[in-house]
Amino acid sequence: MNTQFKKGALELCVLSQLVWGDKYGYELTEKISGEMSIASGTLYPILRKLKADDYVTTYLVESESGPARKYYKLTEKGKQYQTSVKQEWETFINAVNQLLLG
Amino acid sequence: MSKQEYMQKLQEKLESFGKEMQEEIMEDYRQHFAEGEKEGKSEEEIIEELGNIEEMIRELSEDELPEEFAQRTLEPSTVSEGQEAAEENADNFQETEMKRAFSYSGYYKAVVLEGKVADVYVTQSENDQIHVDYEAKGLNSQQNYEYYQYEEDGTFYAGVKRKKGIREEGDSDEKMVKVTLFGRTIISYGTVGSVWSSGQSITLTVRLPKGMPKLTAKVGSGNVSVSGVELEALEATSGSGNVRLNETVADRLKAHAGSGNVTAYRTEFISGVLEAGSGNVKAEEVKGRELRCGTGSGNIKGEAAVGEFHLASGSGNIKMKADGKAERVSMSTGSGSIKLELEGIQGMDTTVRTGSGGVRVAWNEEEGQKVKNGNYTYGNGACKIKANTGSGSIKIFGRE
Repeated sequence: MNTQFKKGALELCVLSQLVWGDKYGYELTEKISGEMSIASGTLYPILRKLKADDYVTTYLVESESGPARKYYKLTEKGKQYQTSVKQEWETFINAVNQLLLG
Repeated sequence: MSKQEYMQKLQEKLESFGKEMQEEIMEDYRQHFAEGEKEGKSEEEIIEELGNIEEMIRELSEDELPEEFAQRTLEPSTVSEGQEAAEENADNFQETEMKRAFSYSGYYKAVVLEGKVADVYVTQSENDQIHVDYEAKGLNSQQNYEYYQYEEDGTFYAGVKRKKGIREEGDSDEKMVKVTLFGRTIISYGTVGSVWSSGQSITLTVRLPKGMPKLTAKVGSGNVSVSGVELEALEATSGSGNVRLNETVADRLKAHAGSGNVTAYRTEFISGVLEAGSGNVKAEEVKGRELRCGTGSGNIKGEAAVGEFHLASGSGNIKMKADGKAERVSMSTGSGSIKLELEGIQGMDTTVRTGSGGVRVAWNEEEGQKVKNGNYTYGNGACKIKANTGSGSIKIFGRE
């Protein structure tokens, strides 16, 4: 798969997961790697970039065992972005499905 | 490999990214280990899950060190399942690689390059000739496109065009069916620049002699890179690719990207304009009299020694470090935040306005005061600063 494409798709997956509530890094990578085979490590740079672009913010929550968990939260800008990319994605998938039919 | 070895390797690989990022990613990984161990996974299992470190580094490099274009850094190098097939394809395409080299001598007042789907690289020639290397990988690119060159009124024209008979000439690129996703063209019928046709690429590498007055480089879906040349005027444009200027000098300089990013690194100019439609604009270590950066929805970031700054983004953030001699800075964004750091000025006359964000202004101190919208003058007030955002925060830190 083309990496730019994969990256865009992963960004959309991450943002869409966060629409349903804040999640910490491990939780996100588990969820995504449960559906597709990716190296979980590659999600951390993506999360970092989403934060730099102000699509998500982070906060720490102390955990009773082990180090504090870094939670990711979708910003207003991130929500808007997720909505528009999701729309693009659906249009795209529909177009591909049409073309697959011949 | 043990966790310790893995983390050791991670630390080494992250060395070149700076302390802050190194620590951040290391922390993410440490946390990942801790969570995995809590679930009863073994070190090996977690290492396998986190995957190849190089792969992660590549992901990071694309965002942080745009030294080379993404496409270039993406050349297949590590094999993970599913990529193998693509790699084999790429190998097949490489067999159908076509390379041609041309040299031209003569005096030209200007060079105009039109790359369409090709990536265009411009560098300095080692003699007084213009050298062009044309490289087409993949069958489609060879069948549909060809190299051209001609001269008119002392101007040197070269580029890539569609072959006759394949499709009409001219602006057919704009008329093609296009499907975009993530701000990139995913499918565009008839083009080889599309993301899907991996292994298909055309590259035009042009080396210009010293003292060439003017260069115009324009591409549709490819990237433009200009490196190490001195010109009077430079104009570099890409429709959906990236534009990158590297160690380039031009009195008048203009770089524009429709949906890609614009980056200028160690570039000098009298007047410089860096514009992106939806991508980011980066000006790193640039020098000049006047710098204008604009983007619709991307961020603007930079470090510049410039007299006048005009920075505007539709919805992104603006972050600028100005070293000395700044006289006037105007910054505006619809919804992003603004951060300006000025060094080596005698004073500043600052006007800030934000719809709902916080404002901090500091003069010769670290964090400064939280202030309201309004006008604040420090020192001799010589540097006029205006910052305006719809809803973001504003930070202006100045020092002598």
